[in-house]
Amino acid sequence: MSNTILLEKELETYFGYSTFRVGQKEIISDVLNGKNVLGILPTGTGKSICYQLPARLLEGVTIVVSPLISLMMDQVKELKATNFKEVVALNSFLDYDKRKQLYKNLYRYKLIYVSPEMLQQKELQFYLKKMTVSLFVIDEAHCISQWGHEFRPDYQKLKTVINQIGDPPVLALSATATREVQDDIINSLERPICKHIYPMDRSNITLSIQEVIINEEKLEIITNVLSEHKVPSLIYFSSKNAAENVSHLLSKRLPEHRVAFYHGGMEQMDRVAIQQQFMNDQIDIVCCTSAFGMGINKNNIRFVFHYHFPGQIESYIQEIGRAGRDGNQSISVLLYCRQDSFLPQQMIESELPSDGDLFRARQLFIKYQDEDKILPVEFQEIQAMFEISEVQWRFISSQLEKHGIKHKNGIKYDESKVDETFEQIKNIRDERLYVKQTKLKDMMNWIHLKTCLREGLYTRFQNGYTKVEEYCCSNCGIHLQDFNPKQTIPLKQLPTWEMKLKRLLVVGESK
Amino acid sequence: MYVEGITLDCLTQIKFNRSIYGIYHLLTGKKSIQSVHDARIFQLEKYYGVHLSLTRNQFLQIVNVMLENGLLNKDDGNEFYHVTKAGKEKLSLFQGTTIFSYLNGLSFSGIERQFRDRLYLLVQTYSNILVNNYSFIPIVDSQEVTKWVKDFYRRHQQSNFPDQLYHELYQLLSLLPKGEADFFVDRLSGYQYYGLSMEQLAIKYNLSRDDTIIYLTGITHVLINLVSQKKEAYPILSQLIIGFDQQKFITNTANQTFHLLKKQYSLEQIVQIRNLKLNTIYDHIVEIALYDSSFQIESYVNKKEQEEIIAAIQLNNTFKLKTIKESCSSTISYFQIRLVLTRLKELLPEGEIHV
Repeated sequence: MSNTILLEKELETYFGYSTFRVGQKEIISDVLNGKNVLGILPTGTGKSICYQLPARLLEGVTIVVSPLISLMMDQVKELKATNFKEVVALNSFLDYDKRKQLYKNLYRYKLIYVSPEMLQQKELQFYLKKMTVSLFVIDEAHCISQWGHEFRPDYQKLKTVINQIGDPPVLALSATATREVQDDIINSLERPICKHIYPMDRSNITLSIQEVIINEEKLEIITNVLSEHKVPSLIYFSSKNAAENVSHLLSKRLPEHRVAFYHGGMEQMDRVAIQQQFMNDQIDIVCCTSAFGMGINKNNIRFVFHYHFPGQIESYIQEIGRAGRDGNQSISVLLYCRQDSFLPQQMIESELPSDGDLFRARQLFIKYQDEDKILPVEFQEIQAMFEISEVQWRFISSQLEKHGIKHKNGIKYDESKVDETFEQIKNIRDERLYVKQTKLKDMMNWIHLKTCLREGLYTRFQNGYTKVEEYCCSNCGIHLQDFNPKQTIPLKQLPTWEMKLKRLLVVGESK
Repeated sequence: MYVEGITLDCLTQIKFNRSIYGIYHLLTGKKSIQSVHDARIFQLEKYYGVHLSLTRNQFLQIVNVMLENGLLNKDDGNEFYHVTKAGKEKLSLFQGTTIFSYLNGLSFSGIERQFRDRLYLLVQTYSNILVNNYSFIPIVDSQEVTKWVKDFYRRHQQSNFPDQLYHELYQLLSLLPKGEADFFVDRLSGYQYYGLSMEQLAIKYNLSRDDTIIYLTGITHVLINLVSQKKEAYPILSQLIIGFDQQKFITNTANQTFHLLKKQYSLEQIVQIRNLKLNTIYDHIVEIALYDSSFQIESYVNKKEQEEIIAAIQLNNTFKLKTIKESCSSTISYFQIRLVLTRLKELLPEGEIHV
């Protein structure tokens, strides 16, 4: 037992928490004992501690595969802010020289974040082989499964990489994996795995769905609810434009609230500014796209609205999971308008190549082969050639690799097989389309559910759920008038620049 | 207001000598010899690179709105724009603003961003250190700037340092009108406090997105100017612009050619050594001539040739290279014409040419 007491001490030393949250200690103990672990923990309960603490305690280096560059960057920034400096993120944005330099100095780091695509590079593998990798972490492990909501083909090649770099123990983590997906993860890794599955339902989040006829009604509902409460709130949108527009409208309708918007199209500095203003309670409401919140560790978000609903239940659970991390009562409000289902439908279509896209790609490939040319590496050039999005290209490219048509630096194929291959790619595309459409249908069915929303949301992921008496869901009946969260007290607005400058730089003037 | 004013000023100066995209390239600080050249010959140096993030479509949008609002007219048959009477009034309004007098793009567009980024991170860092907080999310996410601030901090750990920084900023910003100082300080971040985003500033100060950018650019230019003119009064802030003074050429590659020229290599030799085309070396020489007024152009275009080119410019009342070339004898090259254009101010009596 002294072992566990020690662990708590380490947690305190490195992260400043005195106790573990549900599941963390069990997972970390197994990881430290060199076991392979699958950990399913609800969002917002500190999944990352499960490898960040071992990374500091273990002898060698910990590698974390993460699907999103922005997520990696945020984590690195946060860790550096807690004085953990031996951490680095490797991604394709680094230019060649910088990357080369980093590779040579990899041994200096304790924790290395890397994208699944980068991990395929022979050069990186070469350097990793020379090091002692003591833990291999697969974050967002549901990306392995094509039944998961964010399938990433390169995740399926992770097993090979793990073997290549000395077969270190594996920790696969996810917050949203159905039983099907859990099995997929285990099968894909081909090794004995200890499962730590924790219930993902969050009993402190009330689920409310309100159907409206027109968008204007959504605005009215949000205005009415928030005029009663000045609390940290998020409003999710499916487009940048909508987020901006509603943000402007709301700041007029709620003059006492501080409203801002956030999306991936903003400049880096402005993104940091808005995120951190929200963290520091300088703003109350953020109108955002799904780009917001991934790295955000704010524990007192009280409302999460969905002005547009996402195309799958997993995303919805992730987004509402940003509410109430302090355990206090919080509310999710999904505003549904019949026309809204077109938006996720469009999104699905834009993510996969159309028949026309595939046809053009095929023609170009044949031309390149005939002229013995090399395919450009830069995505911008590829986009100019094919007129497709990055996600679409990733799909085609990985399929061609799988069929042995595309190699590291070019294209090679047996002419007789081209038609067959493209036919197969089309089939796989159709399969993915089917999976995504099924997920959208699941989401729509849940929205239209007449019975308890909590039951309907969580039982597909786990056996049973925690029943909630009050504040369960809009189908069980809720009384929002009794909801009485702690209101934000705004920072004093200073009238002049002289005073503001003083607050920043003179002792005794800061709060 | 600002972005329109700048466009009107550019159109007034350039007239029909360049298409509307010449202005776009100027504003976005296109690193081509043509854009720098244009800035010089049309005396629009101050606008070079004042709106780096402007896209082509946004620019066309601005021009279209100006057409709709009657600030501009357009000839039916071609792509040339005239400034209307209303446009002239708007322009003179703009020319009365402080921002107009602050802008100094050709000198400062390369250092403006770094001046601000270094300052933002410096203020945020010392504001946190002031309360013994050593971990925070940096507002500027650039390794280069982070490294600079770290090095700076290692050299300046005195406990009264934040106070000194405060006094320098106070002294400097007091030289600006109140509204401009308000704007600039609102963007600063510190301990548990993050400055406003550009969008937030636009709303608070009732400016368009483009004008917010130019407003900030203008203020930054005047601050750099004030600091560099009186370095002894700003021992901290003057360090933000160290390393920028020597930056004479826009491109590194022209600088390399310049070094070879100084070692008396011939153009043909330089072509060999650098493995570049002769035309590229010509570009470099025009670039050098633009930046270094003491650079002698006589060895490339003799006095007689210069006179012939000048006469062609005056006769046709234009800076269009093609027209000038057609009006000269066939032995005169584009390279020679471009070189002469870099020396217009010296070769022509003041105000003699109005194109």
